[in-house]
Amino acid sequence: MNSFGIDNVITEKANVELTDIEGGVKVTFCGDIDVQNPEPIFVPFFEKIHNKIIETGIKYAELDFSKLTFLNSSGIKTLIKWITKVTPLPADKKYKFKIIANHEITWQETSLKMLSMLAPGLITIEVK
Amino acid sequence: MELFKNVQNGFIEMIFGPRWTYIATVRTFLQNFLAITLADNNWADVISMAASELLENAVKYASDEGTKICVEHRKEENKLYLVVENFTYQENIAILRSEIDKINSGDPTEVYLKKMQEAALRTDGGSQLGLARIRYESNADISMSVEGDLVKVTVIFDLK
Repeated sequence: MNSFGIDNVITEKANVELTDIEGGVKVTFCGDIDVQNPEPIFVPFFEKIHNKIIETGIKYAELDFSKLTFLNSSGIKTLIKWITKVTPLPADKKYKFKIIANHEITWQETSLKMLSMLAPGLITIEVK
Repeated sequence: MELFKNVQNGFIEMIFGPRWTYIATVRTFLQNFLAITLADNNWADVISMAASELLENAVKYASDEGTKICVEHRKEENKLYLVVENFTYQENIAILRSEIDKINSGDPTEVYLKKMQEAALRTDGGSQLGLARIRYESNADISMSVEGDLVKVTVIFDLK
């Protein structure tokens, strides 16, 4: 369990885990996210994390996709919804993302790179 | 389908009912098969992703039984043709036609970024990102044709 008290998301084919790390939080994605409508599963989870980050004043969220083998475009949309919650915030409330991608999984570099273009200056990408 | 000699362009054709659970199975099969056929894991990943996105649309908007996918490697052109067919309603055909026009109307990166910005505001469960994602990730040519209520989406990957 993480210090936010937020339950991890476990679906038939994916596991998304929230953990505390020094100076922030880490969300680790494993498996395949390819359900027909991932919004009811992931949007509330990301919203809870976002609200707690704002409440606690944390400035850093790490999103580790290195063990995620597939993410459909509906899943990408849930991430877009999270990231675009941060861009309109005043400077003192904004926090930064670091995305960790796996170079052996082709879609990760291309798809995840586009997320950084949605919020210039807020997202860095590390490709392992 | 019949077997014939002197196959110039190998192809795979599958027909199944519009069931969501088949999509991952087809994606995994294509990824493994194309990794061997094309000897290129990157193209295998991109093409199987594209097939998955097209099949998601086909299943979501199907009006009747029958979803068909065909993957053909045309060696002399060094291109791969991915075709997905399904039956759907005329209003869905009109939306799809409009989407394909938008996707083909500009630079793939700019179009995808714009679609992502629009997706952030959508509340209807759909993303309408799949086609823009395919074009951005592969620079493929995307087109469609219609016969009655049968819609056929063709994606051509230039493997050069």
